[in-house]
Amino acid sequence: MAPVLAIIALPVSSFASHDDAPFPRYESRRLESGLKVIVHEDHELPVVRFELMIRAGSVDDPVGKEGLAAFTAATLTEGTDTRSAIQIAETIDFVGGSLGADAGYDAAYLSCQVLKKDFELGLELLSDIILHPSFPEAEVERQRSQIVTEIIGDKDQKSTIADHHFQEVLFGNHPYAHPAIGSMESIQTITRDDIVRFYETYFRPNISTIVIAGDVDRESAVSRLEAALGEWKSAILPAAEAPEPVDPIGYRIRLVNKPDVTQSEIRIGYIGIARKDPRYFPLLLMNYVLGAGSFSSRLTQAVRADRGLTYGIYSHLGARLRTGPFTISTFTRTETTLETIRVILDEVERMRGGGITAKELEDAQARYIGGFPLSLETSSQVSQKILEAELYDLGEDYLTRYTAAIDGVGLAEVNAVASEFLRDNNLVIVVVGNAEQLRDDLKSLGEVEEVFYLELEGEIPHMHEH
Amino acid sequence: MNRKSFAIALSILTLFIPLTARGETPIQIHHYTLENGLNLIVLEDHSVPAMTYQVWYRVGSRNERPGITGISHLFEHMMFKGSKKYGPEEHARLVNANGGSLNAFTTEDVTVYFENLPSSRLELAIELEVERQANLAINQENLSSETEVVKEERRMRVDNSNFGRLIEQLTALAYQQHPYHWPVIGWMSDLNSISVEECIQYFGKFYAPNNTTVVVVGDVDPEDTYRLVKKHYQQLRPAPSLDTTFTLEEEQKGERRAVFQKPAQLPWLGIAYHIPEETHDDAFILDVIDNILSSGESSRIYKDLIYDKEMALFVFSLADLRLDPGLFFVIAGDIKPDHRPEEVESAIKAQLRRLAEEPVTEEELQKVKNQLEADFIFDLESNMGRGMQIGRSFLFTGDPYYFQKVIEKYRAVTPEDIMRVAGRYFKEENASICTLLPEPIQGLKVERVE
Repeated sequence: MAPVLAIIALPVSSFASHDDAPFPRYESRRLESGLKVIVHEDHELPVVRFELMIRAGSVDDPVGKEGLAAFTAATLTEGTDTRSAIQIAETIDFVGGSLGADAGYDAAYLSCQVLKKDFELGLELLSDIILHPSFPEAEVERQRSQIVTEIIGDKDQKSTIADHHFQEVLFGNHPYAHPAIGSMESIQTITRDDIVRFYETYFRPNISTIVIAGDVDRESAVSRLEAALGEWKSAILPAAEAPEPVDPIGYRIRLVNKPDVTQSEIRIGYIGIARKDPRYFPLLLMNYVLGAGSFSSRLTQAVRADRGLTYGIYSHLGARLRTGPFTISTFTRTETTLETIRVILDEVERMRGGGITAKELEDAQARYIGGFPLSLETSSQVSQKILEAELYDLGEDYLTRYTAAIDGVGLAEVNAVASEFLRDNNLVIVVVGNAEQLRDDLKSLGEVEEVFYLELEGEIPHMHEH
Repeated sequence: MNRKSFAIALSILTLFIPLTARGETPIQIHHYTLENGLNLIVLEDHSVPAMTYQVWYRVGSRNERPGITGISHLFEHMMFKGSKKYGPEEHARLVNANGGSLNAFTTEDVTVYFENLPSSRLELAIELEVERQANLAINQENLSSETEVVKEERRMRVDNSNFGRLIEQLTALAYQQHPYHWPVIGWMSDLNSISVEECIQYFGKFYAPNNTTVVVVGDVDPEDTYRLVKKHYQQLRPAPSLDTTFTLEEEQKGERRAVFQKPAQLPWLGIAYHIPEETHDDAFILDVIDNILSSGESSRIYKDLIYDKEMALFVFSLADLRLDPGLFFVIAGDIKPDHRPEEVESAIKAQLRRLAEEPVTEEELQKVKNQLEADFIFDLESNMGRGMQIGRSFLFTGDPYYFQKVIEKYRAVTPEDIMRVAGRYFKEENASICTLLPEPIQGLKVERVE
């Protein structure tokens, strides 16, 4: 059958890359206000993305007001001095664009995506929102109701319950102990004043970076941005607290009783590293082999493929701005919970004692190096990577150096780091499941603290009585 | 797989994409057919030295019968467990070690496998896919192991999930005769009893080259690709005719309701209306309606139920267009304590009624058309996204260019079309309604806190 022809016109990209050409070093400009601007040109499609990152997140939530950063981000887009929430929604929806803000542990983000023809509109909306948010009282209450409902609904998600308990047990009083969403108690105490104060304190250009990626011209994008955000004033920020998290002693085991589930959630982990730790690349590769490489990882092989104990298991390095959590996560039917934990601990111990093989390292490096161009296919992927480099201060040549950094890791180095980093003790184990069937099994591992899954948040307001 | 993104991706801006780049190169889709019936579709894009290699089989839960429900999806898992040449999981490890990622998914209608690799690894992808299609190792050990994995997946996605349970129960309520009645993941008791013989039979019947479409998008040359595909695939023998008769779903003649209890904090509600298949004349109008209802925060359902009335954590609509007549869903999750499922149901039905009785404004219609066209452009950014559009177009309509042709149809939709289609399908006698009610937790006393 002869090939059928059809014409779909797509412009040829101005960025032609070859297998061995390194990613170009990106250029940044720092405006007078301190705002860092990076433009990544990609002319393949007529789209533009604005990604503004503000280095303030849930680590900056005041004690007792956990969730403030996320609450502030959620309400940011719900009204400005000249536009209501509805008007903002109608404006962005009409052009088929999207707009959103959220906050994680270390940073808050405001992003806007539009077609190229709507560049000015996108810039205008983004600037209006960041410069003149009005935080209307009605919108604050509306968001509060949404957040509270989400916290209530999270009680049905065993995976979320496991994550929350894990970080609480591991981090204690440290700023990473609470989830970005906050708690039922803390959300109820947050006022509009708190939100306005958080915005005025932290949403400042001197701790922010904006990436504009897509079908734009660098010079003109920077000058338009300068004009739009010129009035954004820098400020002196409060000194960030950076307590060091404290290691658990022995096995700290918490069993969260959720009697209705037929499948347990398991979290095993300990204090890990910060992103800038010099061990990052060796640990990245070690972790790929341990549990981040899917079918190429030992944990997936041992727990899923060999024994059929789970549909998914992975290990996560959690390297954040500050020292973060190293976490192994999985789930399995109630009756195989203990077995799964033992297999995981055995695999970690095997790697701690024996390291990884040369072939495993080679394959891991090949994945990262060979897959590097694929991870930068779209302008959205590129801007994410740039923001990662910016958040962790990795240098503007980070993407250029990346594959060489991966390639430069040697076997002896990985194995030395693995034997020191991986542990057989001083770790946290959290299990969410049917305690009736689990508690005796888990006691064989050590002392077990048991809580009911509804206890963490205190009373649930307005719950209907059954 | 998110069908909503498919529905949106099918809406493209035809030929006019404003260009600022240094030039426009006409792109051609090349379509080849081998003697054994295999279809090959290739789209070139040399902007990144990468490609997506996708293998689409026209088989899904629709082809199953009671006793072997879930076999298509279980089989998808089996495809990673090794063949004559490669051991279990070795296919995946080879893809990773060559810088690639891979996965697969099963729906009611299709099973799709894909590798995203550097373009220099095209022949590797072909070789790996042919090997497992020709020589998969189907044995008791692999089957037993993978059955346990799938059961864990079911527990995660359905048994212990409010959303999963709701969709399963709602779909089973809406379909009484047609194979869409049972879930893609299968009923648990069927998973426990599927045999090696049944898998072998299934494999022979559905994994034949005349039931296979290969889609390649990226930094490849179409003629080279054809040559390589032919070289490796021509060994495969076609299967006898695959025409299968399906039990037809009878017309629903009255509203259906179901309630089920599950340990949960808050109620959920799902409504489903029967709608025609992807190739029907009304299908693309349902895409437009879907967007009017819930695309963006100024959309009708979001603005009314979430913003104004604050009834639930989220509500969304979805026009689930399939090979056979599908469903139009409206789902409300985590209904807030001061609202009842009945209220949410009334509010949703009022919105649907309004669509049937009142023409949408030109501005609102233009907004939705803009959204559909913009979404299409955003979806074009990746090889993977483009491959999915082409594959779906071809499998569901027989025309790999459907996703281009439908654009003109979207542009031509009028307010009258919307009223007609809304009026035709959003009728009481065509509705199935399922409510998830929180089951009281034994021994727990909950106190009201004002």
